[in-house]
Amino acid sequence: MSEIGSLLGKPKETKAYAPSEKWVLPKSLIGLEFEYEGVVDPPQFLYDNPTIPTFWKTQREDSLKDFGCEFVFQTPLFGADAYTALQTLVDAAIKAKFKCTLRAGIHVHLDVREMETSQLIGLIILYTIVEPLIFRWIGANREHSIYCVPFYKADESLSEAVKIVRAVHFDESNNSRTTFERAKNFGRYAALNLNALSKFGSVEFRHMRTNHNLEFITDWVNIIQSLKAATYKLPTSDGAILRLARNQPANTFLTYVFGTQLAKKLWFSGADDLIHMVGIPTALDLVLNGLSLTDWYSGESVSAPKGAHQGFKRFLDDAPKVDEPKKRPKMAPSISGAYSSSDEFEVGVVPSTPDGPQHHPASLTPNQLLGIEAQVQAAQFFNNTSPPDDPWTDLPPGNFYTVS
Amino acid sequence: MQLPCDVETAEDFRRYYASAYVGLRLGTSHINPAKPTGGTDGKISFKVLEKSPTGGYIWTDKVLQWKDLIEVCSFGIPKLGMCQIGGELAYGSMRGERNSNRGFTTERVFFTEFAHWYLRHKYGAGLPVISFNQDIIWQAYNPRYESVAGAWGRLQSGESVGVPLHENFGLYTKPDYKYPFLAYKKWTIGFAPNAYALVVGRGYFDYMEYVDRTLHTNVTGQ
Repeated sequence: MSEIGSLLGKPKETKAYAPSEKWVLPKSLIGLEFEYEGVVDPPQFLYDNPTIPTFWKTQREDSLKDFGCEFVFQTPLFGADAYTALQTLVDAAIKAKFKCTLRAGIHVHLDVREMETSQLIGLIILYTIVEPLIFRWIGANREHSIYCVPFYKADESLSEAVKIVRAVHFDESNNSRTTFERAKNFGRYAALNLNALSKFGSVEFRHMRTNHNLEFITDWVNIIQSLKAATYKLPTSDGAILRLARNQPANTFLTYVFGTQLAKKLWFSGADDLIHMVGIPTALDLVLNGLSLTDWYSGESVSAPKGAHQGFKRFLDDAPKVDEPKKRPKMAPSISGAYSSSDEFEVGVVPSTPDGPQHHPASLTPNQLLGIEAQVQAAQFFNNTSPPDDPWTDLPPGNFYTVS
Repeated sequence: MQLPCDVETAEDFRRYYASAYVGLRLGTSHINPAKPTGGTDGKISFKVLEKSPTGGYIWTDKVLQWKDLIEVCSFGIPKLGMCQIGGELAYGSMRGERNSNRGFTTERVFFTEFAHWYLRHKYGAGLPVISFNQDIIWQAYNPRYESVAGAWGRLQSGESVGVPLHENFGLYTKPDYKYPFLAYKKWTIGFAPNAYALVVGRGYFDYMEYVDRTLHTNVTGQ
């Protein structure tokens, strides 16, 4: 007996549309992109398996060499379908001997369309706090790759992220669409690519080098989904997120955000230092510079005593005689992108505090109420949680996986 | 710090690193910035920047085999951070934009100069930062940071008006203020009332722990 679909030339539906416990967020949509080199002519067996063309489309990728090709989800997937698609492509790529080179990466898109603005901002802050640990876990020297630059290395990307965060605030108050424009201008080679907000309503994580280790890739997607999940349970105030990170040992904080299993993989004995010396200062730059609704410098901040600095006078006295400078310019001459901010950063001005009342309007949305509830739950978690009984093992990242 | 190799062959290296600098560890005391100029097969030729014993810089030629280059080369793009330009303090920040080639060039750096007009006063109006190109390139591979006490002394003597303390911190002076200011990345966040103490402005208290742990100096809030 034939199936109707095959009689009509209409293959039956291969998607399950079912949630899956493989993922931290079983129903959350993701997008995956796998880059490979050496894809001269995709072998027929790729297309004989109906799962590949159902879930994946291929396109040539100019940033790669040697017949570089990108496999991209046809549409965003969730749950069982996302896992099946991933598993099928990895199996096929191993069989086809596609090359995982230095240039090839796996990019994960996280759907953020249903998130509230405070949650998106929370996601960015949380990510920035743990970014150095993520790069350590990802390994493969990706921290130094020009295709996925960390916020803590590229200040200008952080500045662009700040502009997006400000735009989110602005749009919320003014019912405008400036976020879209800001996101469109975001340099898309930052490891956390916010440019994707304007294209797909997603944020793209570009960190991972292409590999065929299903557990490693699944963990990566789950780390990303954990960040999203955490923004629903964390306090909505950006300053409060920073305080949570600052006041807890790294293992307790990571357990709260990622769960014990993933936290143990991200943690190492230097985790506290990385969070406090790299992650938190970078997140602070973002919070103080971007999340204040008023400008960074809007009042008195550094009141230094006035008086002549003798060393400065000596420095100038030793200078060769030149024409007196004309009236002090507001900005230095533009030199290949260089600019001066000395005037902007004149003393006697102050940033507003990140936890200012402007973040907490009088009427609270259900989501904000959820935030308050989350704060109570967070307090309970941290008050009741003693450090894990079993000692955490300090292993280098690669020890969890055999990456092919 | 020697950044790891990010290309697979000599040919790729010549292609991706054209017109930019890498660092070569040719001695023990420093890393020499070097610009690839060509080569054939597995050989790569460089113009290497050296410090001249009489002051300033000189260029020398060097040819390296690919296998030897991997051992001594710092690849990728180093972060510049705080640097000293003509006696002044500047912060060099990078963008996460796509680069068609790799390696360090000053064109990809955005400079925030602290109290820049004094530099203009000393060297002439309109003098671009880029005039100190070789200094900047040298510091990208050989950052030099002073302790707070050391920097304080250098500023007091009039030897300079800005001194890097760390890749994210520096001290700089202004003529009308008694004490040097503490710069953090692009921002002024406090001042140093003496050689052994830092005061952080009240808008920046959140950074106090980071300042303390980084600069190992007594830090108080204003």
